[in-house]
Amino acid sequence: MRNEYSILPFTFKRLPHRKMLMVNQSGEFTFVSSDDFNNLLNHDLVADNSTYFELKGKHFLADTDLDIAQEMVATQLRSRKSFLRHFSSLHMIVVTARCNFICDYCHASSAALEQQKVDMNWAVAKKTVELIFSSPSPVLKIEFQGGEPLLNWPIIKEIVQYGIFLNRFAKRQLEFVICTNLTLLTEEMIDFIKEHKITISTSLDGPKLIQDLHRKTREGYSGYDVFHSNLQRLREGIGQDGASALLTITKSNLSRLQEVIDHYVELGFDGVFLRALNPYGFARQNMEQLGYSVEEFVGEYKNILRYLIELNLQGIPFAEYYTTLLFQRILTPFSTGFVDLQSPSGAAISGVIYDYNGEVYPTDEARMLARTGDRRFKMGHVLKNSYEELFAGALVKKLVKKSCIEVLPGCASCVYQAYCGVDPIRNYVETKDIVGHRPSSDFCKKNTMILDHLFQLIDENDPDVMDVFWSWITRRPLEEIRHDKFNRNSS
Amino acid sequence: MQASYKFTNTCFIKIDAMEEGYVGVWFKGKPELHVNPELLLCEFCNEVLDQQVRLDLEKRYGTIRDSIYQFAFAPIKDRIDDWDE
Repeated sequence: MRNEYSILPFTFKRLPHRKMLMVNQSGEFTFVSSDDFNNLLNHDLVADNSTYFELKGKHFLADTDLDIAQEMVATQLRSRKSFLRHFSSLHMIVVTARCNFICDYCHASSAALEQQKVDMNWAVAKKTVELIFSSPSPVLKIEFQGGEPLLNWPIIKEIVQYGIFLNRFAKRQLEFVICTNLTLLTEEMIDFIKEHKITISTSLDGPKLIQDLHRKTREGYSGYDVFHSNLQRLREGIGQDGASALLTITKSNLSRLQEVIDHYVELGFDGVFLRALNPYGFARQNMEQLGYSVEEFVGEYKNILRYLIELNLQGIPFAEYYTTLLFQRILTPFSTGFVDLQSPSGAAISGVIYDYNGEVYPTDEARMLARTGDRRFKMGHVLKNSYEELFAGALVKKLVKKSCIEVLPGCASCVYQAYCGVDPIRNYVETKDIVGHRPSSDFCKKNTMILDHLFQLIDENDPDVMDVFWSWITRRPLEEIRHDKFNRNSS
Repeated sequence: MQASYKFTNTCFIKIDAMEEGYVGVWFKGKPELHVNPELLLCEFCNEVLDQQVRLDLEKRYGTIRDSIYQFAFAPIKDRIDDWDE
């Protein structure tokens, strides 16, 4: 006799040892045996079975209360997608394309120092700030990029001051970030950065030899030495937490990540984003010299994750941010928009980039593509187009429509759909089609392999390892997590 | 067709209707990829089974998924109207 229950929508994947991973629409997951999975499908699960209650509790099945179960899943889904509610909050401004560095992997294919025509002027900057304040988002983060943005310092100051002026009336949560190699930092700049609570994002690939290997100054001096002394000066001015660093992983430091992490710790950073090399700009041209396979990257990712867990267990708090993001999505019901990994894609609707000449692009990668002559992702121009024309135009609508993971070939039935995202610009770069081709996509392969590993760790459920991950998710010290757990278990 | 999609990176695939109730799927390994035909066949059979499960679930419970999305993204006003009815 068939047992009366409805099966709620879910995706699944076969795991070794006759086990199945199931994930429902709102991202709740469970592991079941193949037998239980088959019983579920055949309506042979009985209500006195613990798997039955697990599946019911996590909304994989509903018996007497289908309407309530549907509403619960819908509410969870709505919460998870709430990053869509506020529209674009990240506004990147390229104040200059000039750079005093000429890095082998530069995504932006920077211009030489004397080419001042690639600096943003005040007319473009002023209009850009006004457009940013047209965004409905209650949070506006203005991120200065380059080139090396400090080469056009006067415009940065003007933008910050004008932004603060406009915000007297707009009353948004206004934040500023400067992405800089730090080598041109002056005392005047540090004072301004401190006064306006600007945060700094810099680049660090490892100790001096690694850092200077691909991050070369145009004038031939060691960029690392200046970076190091200016980082200390900056921190004396704005505090230890005022600067974070981005790591670019190339063939040169991939097998030396432990050394890289040790250097991050030595310099007082409390986390790292293990970012694989993206196929844009100079990096695309230099793939032979810099690149590696997805398998090599994920292999090292697993090694370094193990090392980071050990570090944390030894009392050195240090997080890996990509893992943290994925665990937030897997283990919590909260919304985690992340421009590079969300559905629909964050291109234009979460983040947008204004080039020095006033052209607007949905992502930095789209801007880089334009540098190579392909301007198909240009949304418009700050001096020629209105906010509505830029953000509600045909291009943005197409990007949103074609980047919903729920309906993309290969993604629609993927078990990791609830945790993953879409990058239509990268799809285009790789396949000349914004929908892309999942079976040959390195982006898909990398995320699948990483999520496979994270779910394996969840399944193993080592209490020490999970405590470390919870300390990353909640940004609380490991001792607090353990103390809370101990108290819960005792009571 | 969905089951075949997964293999389009390693193989050229042709799908043809055969006699009633049958579909023929032809695989040709892409040059230099050294496809193991036996393994490919096993993986394809498993994938067909999994896609069939998804298809069956979609047929039986697909409307539930649609109503969850509808409910999740409906304007608050419409939801209040629903509750009032």
